[in-house]
Amino acid sequence: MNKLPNDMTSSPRPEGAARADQRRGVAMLLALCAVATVTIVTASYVASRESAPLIGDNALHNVVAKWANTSAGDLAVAALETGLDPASLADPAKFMDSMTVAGADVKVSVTDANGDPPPADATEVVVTITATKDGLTSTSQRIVKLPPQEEPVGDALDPELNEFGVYARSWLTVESGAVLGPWQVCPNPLGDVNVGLGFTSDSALEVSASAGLVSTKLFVPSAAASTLKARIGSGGFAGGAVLPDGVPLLGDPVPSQYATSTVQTLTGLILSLSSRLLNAGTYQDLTITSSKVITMSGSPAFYSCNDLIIENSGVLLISGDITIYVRDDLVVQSLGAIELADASSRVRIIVTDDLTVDNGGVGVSRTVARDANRAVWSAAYIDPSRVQIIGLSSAQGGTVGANYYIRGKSVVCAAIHSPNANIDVSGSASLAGRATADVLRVRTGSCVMVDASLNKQTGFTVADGPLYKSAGVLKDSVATVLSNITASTTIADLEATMAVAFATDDSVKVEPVDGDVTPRTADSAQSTTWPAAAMALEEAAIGGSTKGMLFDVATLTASAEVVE
Amino acid sequence: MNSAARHPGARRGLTLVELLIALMITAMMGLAIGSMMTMVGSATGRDSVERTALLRAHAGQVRLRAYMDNALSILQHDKDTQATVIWLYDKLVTDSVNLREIRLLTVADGLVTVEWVAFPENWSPTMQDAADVVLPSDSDFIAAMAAQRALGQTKSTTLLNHVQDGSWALSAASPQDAERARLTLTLDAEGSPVQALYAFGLKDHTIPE
Repeated sequence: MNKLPNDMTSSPRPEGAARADQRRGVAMLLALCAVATVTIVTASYVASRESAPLIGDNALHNVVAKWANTSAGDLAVAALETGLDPASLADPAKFMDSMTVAGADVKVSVTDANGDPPPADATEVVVTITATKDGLTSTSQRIVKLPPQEEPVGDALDPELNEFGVYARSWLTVESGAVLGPWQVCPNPLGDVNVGLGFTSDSALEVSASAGLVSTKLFVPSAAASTLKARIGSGGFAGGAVLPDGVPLLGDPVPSQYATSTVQTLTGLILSLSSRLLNAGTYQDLTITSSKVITMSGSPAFYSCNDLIIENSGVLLISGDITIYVRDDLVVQSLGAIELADASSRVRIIVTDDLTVDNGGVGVSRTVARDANRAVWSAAYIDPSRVQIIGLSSAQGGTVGANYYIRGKSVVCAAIHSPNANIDVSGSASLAGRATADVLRVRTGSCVMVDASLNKQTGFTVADGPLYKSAGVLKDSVATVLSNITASTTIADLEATMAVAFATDDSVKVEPVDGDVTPRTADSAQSTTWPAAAMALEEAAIGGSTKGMLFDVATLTASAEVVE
Repeated sequence: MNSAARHPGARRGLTLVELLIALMITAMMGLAIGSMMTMVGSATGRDSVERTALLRAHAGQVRLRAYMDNALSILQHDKDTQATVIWLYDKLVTDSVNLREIRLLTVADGLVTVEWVAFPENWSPTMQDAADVVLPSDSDFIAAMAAQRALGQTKSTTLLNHVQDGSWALSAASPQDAERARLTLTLDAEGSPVQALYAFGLKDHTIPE
């Protein structure tokens, strides 16, 4: 029907539009919502599934890193079996650097127990292995013992008995509250302290039940009483063995330089006015006092004096390679000190008569020596073989029964070898290094801290070492040399005899491992694992100090925390 | 002429039946979608819980292996309490067990914990070494640890939590002869227990003196 022009009513709508209006509803909307919901849920579900493969990958990479770590550790030990001296490397901390093992990036470092580069001819090192695979790290540590395999017999036989932490020819006393153990700051704090005896009677070994024996092993002569032998491995001694006959106990001869050295003074010299350099030569009594610093210098240089007295904060400063022949007594007292000028300085003091260190320091800095409350742990580590105190051979005038007193909270860092002397460590004093004596007494409150790194693990205490042809039986050449020692034999005499007798020897007893690989000697590097990860967990649990671990807490703690 | 044409301002509405049917369909669709989402959500949640338990089990494995891989020996095992003492390293006196070298592993109160002897930090190294006595191989190591605990000279840390139960199985009748050990742990995954098995081999097995 046509609409009139002035018809104000709306035009009727077509029938289709009217039906469309009637069919308006929410079905489409519902369908769209359902589709959107399903899409979202499905997408999120699929996304969540993607993490499962990643977790699996992590587990795989963890295993790869772990076994790459083990393989690299075995490779490092094999490399050490070739006789490689880690100290000879430019950077032992990068023994193996960025090496790829089974797809993992591996780093290996070789250090001593303190994390420092190992010393030359180290007998024990720490191997730290880190393997990383796709961000997952496995870290482990091994302690590797390196007993010398090709040590010539001549080097294995040490006339100064450095393999023994202490050696007492006639008597050994360790009183209640005294300590005999390893020096914790030495390069080998894990080493054993070998206690050697030259006497056969059980009664001469006085060790209090309350004495602090730490990591000690007892070695007795073959003729020792059964009761003394029974103390091996008991009463504080963790082990030990019976020694063969003939362990040498020798003193030094009068130095050959003495005969030709320049006579500097004919009267005693009291050095109290000014610090100065003392010329090499022969003196009478020498007294260094009143806080003055007297330097003996030279490389080498020889000095000789009658009495050598360092007192009242006086300092004898050793610079270079010095030999001092003390024709009478050596006294360091009243805050006096014998100090090494630098890392290359060393001194060998041959003492004829008595030695007294009372409220002073030897082998320590003047700061330590001048501290009346000094203690051994306040002294920095030095190699005790750089301060040698040797008793003069009795055959050449050395006093039999000379008295060596270390007392008054003194700290002595030295290697003392005086088979005729009676050494008495008392008054809370400390001897860090080693000692050979006729009689050794360690009194209550005092300590002898042994530098186990002086032991090259090749001497009398190693029953299958270079000195032996079979367990406990010395080589014929060694037995012959020892049997020819007399009362007049000196260390120099023995060394000269050894140079001739051991010119050719067959010390190498372990055959190299054959095959199409780099030749190496079996068992020349003996590895044991160190529970570094466990230590890292424990240190992280209690606050993360470095105690209890070999070193490098941060890396290991981080790797442990990756697990969280 | 229909009613919309007769009444231009009115639109055809829904009958009651149509409305009811539409409501029913809408409700059924909503119910279906809701139940599907609930099902997916619970499945996802369950997967997440199980994955968490798996990760926790893996973390526990790493931590336990840090001890067991390097252990020299299982010194003592208490079948009643499942407390186990291991000899972790041999440092002070060769071939002998010292106090600080042992670790006590316990499964109790929902936790796997490790306990060790720790002397006061103000003790000098010499004093600590002197106190670190040798324990004979036939010692009651658990009692020794308890004694140190009584002195306040032990520390402990948790290796794993949410543990319902645990038990050890050793490869030998005597713990010190065992070169292999298996630890079975039941982990609590929000009400659903998940069992984890750990097998350890003591590659550096040593019998103490």
